[in-house]
Amino acid sequence: MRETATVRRQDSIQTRLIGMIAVTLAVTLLVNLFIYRQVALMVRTIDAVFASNVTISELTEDLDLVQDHVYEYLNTKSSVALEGYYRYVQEYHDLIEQLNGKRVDSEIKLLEKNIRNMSERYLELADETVQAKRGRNVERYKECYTELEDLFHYINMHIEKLNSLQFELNSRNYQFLLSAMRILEVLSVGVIAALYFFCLLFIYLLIRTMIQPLKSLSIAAARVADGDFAVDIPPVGSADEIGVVTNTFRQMLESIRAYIERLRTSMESQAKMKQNELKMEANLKEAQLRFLQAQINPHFLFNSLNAGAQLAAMEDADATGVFLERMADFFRYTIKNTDGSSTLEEEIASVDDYIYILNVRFAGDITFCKQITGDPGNRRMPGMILQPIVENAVTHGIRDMIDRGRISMSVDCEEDMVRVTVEDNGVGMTKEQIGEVLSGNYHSSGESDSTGIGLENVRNRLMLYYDQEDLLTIHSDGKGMGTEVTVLLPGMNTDGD
Amino acid sequence: MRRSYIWTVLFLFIAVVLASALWILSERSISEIQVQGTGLHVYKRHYMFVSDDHSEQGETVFQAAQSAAQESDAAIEWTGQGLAASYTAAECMEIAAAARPDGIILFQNQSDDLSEQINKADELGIPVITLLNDAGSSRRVSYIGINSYQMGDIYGEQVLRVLDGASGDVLVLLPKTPGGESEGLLYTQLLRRVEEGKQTGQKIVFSTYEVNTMSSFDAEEDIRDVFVSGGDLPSVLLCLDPVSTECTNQALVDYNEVGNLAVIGYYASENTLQAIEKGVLAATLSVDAEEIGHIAVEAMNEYCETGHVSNYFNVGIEMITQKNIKQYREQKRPGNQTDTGGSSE
Repeated sequence: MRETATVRRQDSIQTRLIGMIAVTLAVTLLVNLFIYRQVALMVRTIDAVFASNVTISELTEDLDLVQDHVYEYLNTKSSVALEGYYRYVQEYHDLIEQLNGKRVDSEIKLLEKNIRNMSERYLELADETVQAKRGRNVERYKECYTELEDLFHYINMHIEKLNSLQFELNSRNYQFLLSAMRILEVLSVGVIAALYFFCLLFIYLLIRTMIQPLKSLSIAAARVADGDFAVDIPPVGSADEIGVVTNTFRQMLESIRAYIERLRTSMESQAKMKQNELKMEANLKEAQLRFLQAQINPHFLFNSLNAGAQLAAMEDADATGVFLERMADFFRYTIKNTDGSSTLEEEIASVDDYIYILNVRFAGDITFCKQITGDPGNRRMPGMILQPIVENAVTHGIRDMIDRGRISMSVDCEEDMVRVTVEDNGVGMTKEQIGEVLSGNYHSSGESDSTGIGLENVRNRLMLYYDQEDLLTIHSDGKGMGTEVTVLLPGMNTDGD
Repeated sequence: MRRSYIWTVLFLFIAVVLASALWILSERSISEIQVQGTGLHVYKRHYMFVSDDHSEQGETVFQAAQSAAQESDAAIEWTGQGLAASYTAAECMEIAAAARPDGIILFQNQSDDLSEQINKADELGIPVITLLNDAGSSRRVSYIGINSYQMGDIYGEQVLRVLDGASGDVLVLLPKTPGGESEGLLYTQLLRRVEEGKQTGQKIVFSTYEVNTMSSFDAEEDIRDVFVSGGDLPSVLLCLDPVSTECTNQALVDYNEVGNLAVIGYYASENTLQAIEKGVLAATLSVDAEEIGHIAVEAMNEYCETGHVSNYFNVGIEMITQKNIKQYREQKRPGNQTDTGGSSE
């Protein structure tokens, strides 16, 4: 949980928001800078367009200066004029070097070539004129100067034409650039407006993407607040704070659901246990009620029997003493074990006591066989289980045929199970009777001398004790065919524990 | 998260597209400006055309020369055109020589002697080819023109045809030129042809009248004088240059003399042809100006490439009358032009 709750810095909403704003601002800035650059480039191009006219003007000025200085030198032969001549010749030469010298497919460029060649011829002629003056060749320098003047005039005319053509072209270019600038202006405004729109759209979409899980979460939280824990929150892919909160909320909701489920199961289990407890209590109450119905005060009876046994000993009536002693043992066991557990050995002893008492009562007519296989040891089991079964065999099975009646009990001790079978050769039972007995609906008359614990009670207590059904089964082949009651006692031998 | 990236990438993509559109537009505008100075074709040669003939004939010759130059990867310029001052052919020759082109094509209508200028150009290593008016004494490399003898012959024949055996007087309007050798030869042959061809008893009297075509506007004044001098108009009027032909054509209409005299002109301009169709002019001598222009450039190319070229190229001439004008127009219609080709001698 601690890991999922941690948001990496690059995933946090803060970083993403800053990133988004930075991207939009950067893009806007870049596009603006780009537009500014393009406009500046166009302005520079316009400047460059008119720069050519400036160069042409310089050409005319320098040519005039060369011509003036040649004239002055020829007129005065002054060294200042000569010096000026050389300086301006150099300047003019540098300027004409910049003019086109190729046979290019352009009127302007061809004109530049012509001016350049004419100027070179002019400079050659000017030099020849100056040299002739230096050499005092009057006729030659006059002749050359005349030619020079003509050439000067021609060059000027051509420069003028070049200037005019250049200006015409530049004006066209200027007009073209101006219209391009206007289009650029409109387009720039359009681009900025479109960019602004897309910025807004971009911000809206990004924020919506970020906020959408939060909105879903708030709706889900409202439903949870209303008690609807079954709300389904779709998983969020983003690893930002909202993603973390949403995922954590989902996990929390799942934990709450699991906790509620566990609580419900636990409560159901407790309710069941409570129900079992109540049932057991009811059975015990029933058993106790039977005791009360028998109107016997077991402690009084037990104490009385002990007193009788002591009296018999004093009178040397040994048989009476044994009888009373075994009566006392039987009732002690009954008192002790009606609401608790006992051992298999004690149970068998209780059955022996009960048969002994009955045989005394019925002058030894009841034939009781007991067979124990294995060691019963200290196996724990609910008390007062076997005696009521044997009692049931006596009272219902062989009651009317005591002299011929025979009851056999076999105890088969295995490692994880003890099988106790009580069989009689009495009146037997129909299937309906067996069903009624097991369901507790069988009511027979004349139970005044019973211990008061029915087979249904035995069966219920076995079920509650072992939390397992069908531990008591009754088998009979029908009327007159005897009855066999089998009790299964699960559980390991706890002897020695 | 992934959706955020998609939006971001989409946004950046749109921004790039918008900026690119802007960039393409502005770059295209700027490149259209810069294209004036860079990326232009460089010709193999550069010729200069020098002419004092600004009539339709001169224009046609120049255009034909231009077309031929284009085909042979050469540039040709009309020297002095578009300048603030107007210059004579001699001055244009000086300008052309100073500009040092690969060759000069000189189309001189008047017979000024430009030998000095031609020689000066030659000294500077620039070959000069003359058209129509030759400067035989100069160091020009070639001459392309009409044979004066042949021209006189055709004119004479047409005079006889116009007079159709009748007697009459013929006035020849001679351009006033310093030299006038070719006109002299033409005139002599004209007389000879008429003399040979006239019928017995037919009396044809020739007279000449000098028209000053060298200076502007004088030609029209001179021709006007012919019509308003009060004297009898000739039976036949012969014009030996395009300007005289145009002026005479106009004068015939202006002075209501159409049909009163037969005018044989020179050069088949559109005006002249229309005048023939209307019966204002009797005939005109057609000189194939396009052929002259083509041959001039071809000859110059040949000289530049090989260092030599034929000294003389003869251009065909033809007399156009009402009878054959349709055929002539048919021939001159674009697509029907046949390559006449100049004959070199």
